[in-house]
Amino acid sequence: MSIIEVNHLKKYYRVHKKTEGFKGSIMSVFNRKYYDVKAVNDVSFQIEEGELVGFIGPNGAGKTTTLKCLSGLLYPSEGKVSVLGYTPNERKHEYLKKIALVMGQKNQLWWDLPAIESFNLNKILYEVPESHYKKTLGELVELLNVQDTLNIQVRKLSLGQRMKCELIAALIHSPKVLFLDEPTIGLDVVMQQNLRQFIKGYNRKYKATIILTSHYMQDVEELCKRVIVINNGLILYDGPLEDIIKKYATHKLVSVIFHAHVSKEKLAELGEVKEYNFPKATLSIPLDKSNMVAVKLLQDFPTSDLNIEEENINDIIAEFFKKS
Amino acid sequence: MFSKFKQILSLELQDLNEYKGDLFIYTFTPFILTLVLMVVWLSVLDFSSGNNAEKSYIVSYFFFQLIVARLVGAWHAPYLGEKIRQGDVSKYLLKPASFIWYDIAENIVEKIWKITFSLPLYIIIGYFLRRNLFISWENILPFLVSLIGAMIIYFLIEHLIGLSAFWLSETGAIDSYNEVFFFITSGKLFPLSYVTKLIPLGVINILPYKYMLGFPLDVLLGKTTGQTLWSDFGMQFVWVVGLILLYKVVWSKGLQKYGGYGG
Amino acid sequence: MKKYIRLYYYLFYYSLLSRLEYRMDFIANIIRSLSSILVGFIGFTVIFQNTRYLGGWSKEEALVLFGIFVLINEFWYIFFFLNLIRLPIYIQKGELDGLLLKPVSIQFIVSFRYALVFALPNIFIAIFMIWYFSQVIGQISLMKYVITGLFILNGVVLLYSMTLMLVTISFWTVRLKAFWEFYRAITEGARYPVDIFKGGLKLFFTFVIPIAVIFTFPAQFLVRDLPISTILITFLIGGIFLFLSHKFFYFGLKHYNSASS
Repeated sequence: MSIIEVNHLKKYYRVHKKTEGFKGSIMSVFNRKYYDVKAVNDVSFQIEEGELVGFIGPNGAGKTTTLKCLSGLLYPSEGKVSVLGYTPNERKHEYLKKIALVMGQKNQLWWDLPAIESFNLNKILYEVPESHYKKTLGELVELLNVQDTLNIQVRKLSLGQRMKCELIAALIHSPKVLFLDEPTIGLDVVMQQNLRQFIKGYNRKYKATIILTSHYMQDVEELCKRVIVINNGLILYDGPLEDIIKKYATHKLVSVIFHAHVSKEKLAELGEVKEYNFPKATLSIPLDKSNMVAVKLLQDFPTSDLNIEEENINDIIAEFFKKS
Repeated sequence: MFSKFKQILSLELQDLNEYKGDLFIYTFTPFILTLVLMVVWLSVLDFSSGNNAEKSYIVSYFFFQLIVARLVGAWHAPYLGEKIRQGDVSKYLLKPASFIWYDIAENIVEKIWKITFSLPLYIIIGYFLRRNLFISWENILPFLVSLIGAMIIYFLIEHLIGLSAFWLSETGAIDSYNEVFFFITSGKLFPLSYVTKLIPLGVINILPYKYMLGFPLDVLLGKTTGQTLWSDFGMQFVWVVGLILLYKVVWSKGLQKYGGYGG
Repeated sequence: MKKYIRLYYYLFYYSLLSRLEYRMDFIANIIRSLSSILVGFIGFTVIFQNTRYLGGWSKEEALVLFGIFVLINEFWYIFFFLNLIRLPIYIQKGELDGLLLKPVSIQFIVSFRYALVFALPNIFIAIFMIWYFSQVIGQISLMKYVITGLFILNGVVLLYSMTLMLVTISFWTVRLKAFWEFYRAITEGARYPVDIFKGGLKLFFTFVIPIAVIFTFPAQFLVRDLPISTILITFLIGGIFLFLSHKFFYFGLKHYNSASS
């Protein structure tokens, strides 16, 4: 059996229909009209141990709701969910000890105490054996490079240090399954990179199964071999990331370096100018025309260097959504 | 000035409108302490064995305490302290005199609101107690004067506590001491005429708290007359003047200290 | 079970540590707590300068009641108050999810997460008051003290259960601030023997808002007397309320688990 099995998961929310005006308010007291918001509308997939899967989709697609169902925070309206052989919403303590859900910047560290005390508290909560705790703590601290921050009050730490300590607190019980909901949101570029490195390293070292939701394509690109694309509560695609790229990429990016000035208008005749910053420029060219444009650039323009790349994932996915 | 009033008035209106449900609770619960005290002191008198005059005094004392306490009250010390700590005082460095008027206006407006909302409760409770309520009509004028004095003293003490934020990082301690003295010597927990040995009368008469609550109440009920009336008025007057002077000194010293921070 | 004891030890210890970080604040709070007892005590002294009996209770008896009142109130305040009123905030800010993911009873965490340690001195003062004034009244057997202790515990349990039920409502509506004002007001009356209230009011405070059951009965048992049937019923009510509030809390939690987004 797979580590994570989701079968026809559906999750609806009852919402009152808001009626306008005074008369509407009175009427709604007697006759409340509801409608169902289908946050997750028949989703099925399976994930094996050690996989690092990306959930991508726009806001409100159902990513967070699915994660909450997987971690046991929400009851499914219909369908079956099984993680590590447990039914998550039963919230068995044995199950909770094996998973972790990290949502954005929610913090659980005690503000006025050194981070190490919060780790200790989690150790007790999760009943982590002392030797195991020491080992995991040492490894995590080294992976994240926070040796000096452990004994300083959390309120005195920088945002980056705090975030790292939050991570350690969330992982000190060595969860086998990790749910990461928008983990890089609100972080600067350097921290995002650090975090991605860490997740990759953690996945490799502990063979932890990780589901990651993000709408930053760099996260997905760098970490996930497999993606599940979700929108309006439905899965649109479930498979290797590179297949999406190959299948749905409609354009190629041609980047050039010129040795003499070229007007933007002239370039625009060839195709969409994505970037124009002399001496560099980047054009987005439809697949079938990219070779021809490249040749044109080399022959008719003062090009000193030329490169053809895959289209930006963001754009590919955006196209994908537009099509569906 | 009046436009400022209207501004504060509309802000308060919006605030109150949002918390209509809470409003009832917030209006009613301060009554409970006073009404409980009334029951306690009636029980002390054990009125069933007679002495209706005393019984009426207790009932009237605590009933009118409900109203008078609302009329004289001020409670802006923590907000003032916050304002000072946040540095919202800078604009007043040039026009220092106007700062306190904002708080005064807010205080008056809040009182009007609170009393208006409490009016139905006053009427209902007053109706139930009507057989034991009385006031001393010939003392109405002195009562009103003492009321004004009480309002000024109460307000200024609150204000001074708030101003202590210029020097102290935590006004909670002073607030607590103030509250303790207030509860014991102002006439809030018990009519001052009932304190016999524990707290020396001299202390009660020297401290300002009596003149914030107990004194106006006893004037209204005709308990304070003749010589005592005059000496008490004198003391109240001394406190009013003294606090105004103290306020001026503290405020200017505070601004000086504040300005010294390169404001 | 052992895990919970250990957990609580650390929760308490950490609450103490983190409050000690703010030394001035801590001391100011201790002083504030102590002064509230002082004011209450002075109030009683003045009362008994003017009468020998309050609602039929003598000075020592009333002070024993006051001590019990403070003890129960402080107990509740220190261990539960801050925690239970946070539930609406946890819900609003989405922090409840983080707690729900912990392999620990959610009722436990919500009820015991922090401890308001600066009010601890009051507990010792209250215990001293109870012991001292009850000794003045007469010889009281150790057994009676023990049972009174159980009574007090029962009172705390009752208070806890009622508060938990009230706070559980915030799973549906989320605004409860006013009720705390209300509770504070009620406690103004709870420090006095319930016998000062006559007739209908007395019934109200015995059955509707049971301050009599929570506060007066333990004192009555210790220094006056209480019929055995009343004693048994009191403990029964405590148990029932505890059970009901527990069920209600998890009922509310289920609603939250189906509805939150």
